[in-house]
Amino acid sequence: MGKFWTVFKFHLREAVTSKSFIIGNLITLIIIIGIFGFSHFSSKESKDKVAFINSTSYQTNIEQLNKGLDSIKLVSEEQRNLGKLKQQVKDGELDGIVEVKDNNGSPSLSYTYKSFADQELVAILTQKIQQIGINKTIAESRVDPNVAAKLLAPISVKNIALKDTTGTVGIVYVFVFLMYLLILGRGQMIANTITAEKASRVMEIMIPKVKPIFMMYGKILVQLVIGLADIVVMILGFLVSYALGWFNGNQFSLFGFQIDLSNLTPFIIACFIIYFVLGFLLYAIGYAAVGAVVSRTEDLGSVSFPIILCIMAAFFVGMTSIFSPASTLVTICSYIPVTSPIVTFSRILSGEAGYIEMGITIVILLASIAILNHLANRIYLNGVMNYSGKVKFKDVVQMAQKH
Amino acid sequence: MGLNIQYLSKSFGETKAVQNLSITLEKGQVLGLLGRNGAGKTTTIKMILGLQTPNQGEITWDGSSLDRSKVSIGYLPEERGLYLKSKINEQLRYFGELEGMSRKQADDAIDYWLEKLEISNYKMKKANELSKGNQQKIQLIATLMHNPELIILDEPFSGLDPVNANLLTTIIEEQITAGKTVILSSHRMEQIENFCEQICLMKEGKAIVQGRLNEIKQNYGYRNLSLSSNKTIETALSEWNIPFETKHADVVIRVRNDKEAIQLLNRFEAHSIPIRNFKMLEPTLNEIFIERVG
Repeated sequence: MGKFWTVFKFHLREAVTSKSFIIGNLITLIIIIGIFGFSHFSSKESKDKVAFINSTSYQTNIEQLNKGLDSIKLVSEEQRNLGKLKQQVKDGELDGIVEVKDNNGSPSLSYTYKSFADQELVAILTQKIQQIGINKTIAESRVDPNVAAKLLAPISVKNIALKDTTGTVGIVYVFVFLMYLLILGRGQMIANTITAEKASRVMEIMIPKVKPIFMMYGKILVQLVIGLADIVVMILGFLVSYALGWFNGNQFSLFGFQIDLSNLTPFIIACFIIYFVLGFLLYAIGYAAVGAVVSRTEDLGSVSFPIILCIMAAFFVGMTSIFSPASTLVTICSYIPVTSPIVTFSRILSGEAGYIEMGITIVILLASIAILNHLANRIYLNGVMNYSGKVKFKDVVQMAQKH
Repeated sequence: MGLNIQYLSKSFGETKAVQNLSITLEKGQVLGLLGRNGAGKTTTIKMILGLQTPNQGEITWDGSSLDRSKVSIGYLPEERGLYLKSKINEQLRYFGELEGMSRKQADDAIDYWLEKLEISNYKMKKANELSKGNQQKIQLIATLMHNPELIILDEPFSGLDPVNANLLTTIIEEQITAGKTVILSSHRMEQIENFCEQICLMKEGKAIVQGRLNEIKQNYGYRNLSLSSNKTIETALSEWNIPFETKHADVVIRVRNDKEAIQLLNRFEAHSIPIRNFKMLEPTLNEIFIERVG
């Protein structure tokens, strides 16, 4: 084991002192803090400005209307300025114009915008102006307000969810994406470092000194540590944003997904680590074998394509599982080794997979890793000593067989 | 006792890379492993290093099966490289530690060898900042820094300029003097000939000429009779239908043994053809190589 740690320490030092690691993590930190900062400041100060013109007899209160709008600020304007306002919309100085009109005794809205309509504005204003119109009609028709209220009262709907998983959607999204990103990125790095060792022929000096399996797992473990360090950096960015007060409490929104941190229990974190490590090992061993069979880094893309396809499939099924965690596809995929880590984790968060499913999938993953490890060892040993130009699938099968 | 290879065979599918190879190399001796590309030299070396498993046969060191973890081997591969983005001292320390050296032992060895090869100023540089010649010196340090018992050098002179080739020659001689067991694999016969007491000439995986170099030369089947050239000698040889070569100012005639040479000299005397001087030369390793595997 002494040689294994020597390999591990050397490659770890190489990795953490590399410019790509330092600059990459610095950029990640800046992006995370930047997203939260942008979200914080843009929500406070930069609401879209829309001119509101009402030259009808319908009584509207612009302050009341603004209360219902999160991202838009209505500004009262006169009808005579319409031409000038339209020019302002064209020039981008104004985000739109909403004009209330009378359409044969009923209110109607005219919405002018440059190229994209704000659906939130349309939906809220339609509802509010319609209510004003109804109120006016009721008043003019002398209908008893109590009768009118009863007639217009919406049917109440009481939602009773036996298993409410809506709170976990955001968390699943973030973690599925994180797992996909780290496995893909770090796996590619493993293949790159191995192929680079072959391409520079330093592999020839190394293989008599240390068992190839130590070299392979040394690099895999280094990339696993680097992957976990990437997560720590992301958490750091999150904590800095929190310390700066750029989001409050346990809930915040990221790319439209509501994230409720109260769902992030130690059990969920433990599950993430277990499935991340197992998924990482499964793919990392595959990437190591792929890196060993080619002799030039430019050949790596075509050989690693099947692995990329597998992980992309796992990602898309993982995304599907956010909204339909009990579907047949998702259930089956949670037992297929290449899709299992992401999909099962997603199902656990959604409450669809219990301890039995966890146990079964962990056993399947461990068995798959053991089988893959056996094959990859042979491919690695034979692959690193093979410098022939183009590698065919038949060659890889032969490498896995011969000793 | 030393390295003993018995009936070693290795096949890759239908290709027989090494067939029934047996070599005995006493400690402190030097073996020249010769042959054309694809003769089976590198496969033999890889089996000695434990990188490939023989289909048949065994390799022992001091009577026990050669265990890489117990025998210190210094191997300079034919295809060699370095970690181009790593500092020289860091990667040499890494190589040393993998050979069981402590950090201090590795650092001391690095300083010793860098100074010996006059490249101490590159200690903190990255490998990609060094010229090819200096990178080769670093690779040689990686091979020898842990003071190995058995040294295997695969095409050690390839790509070296005359100055570095001379430096490598000196270092190999020092290692031989220090009693190291050395295996040299090369195409460059004139460089091998200076070091090797024993040779193994391989063709298509088999040893076709093997043993002590001086005995091989003595018993090879012919010698070269070299005479100072003059027109009369060349005319007489042509008339007698005796094949000869002219090399510089000499005429070289291939004879089977000393007796045949003396008979030829007597014939010159009988025809009153003057001879200024003559030499009896053993065939060179290069001649043997070309004749047997060319």
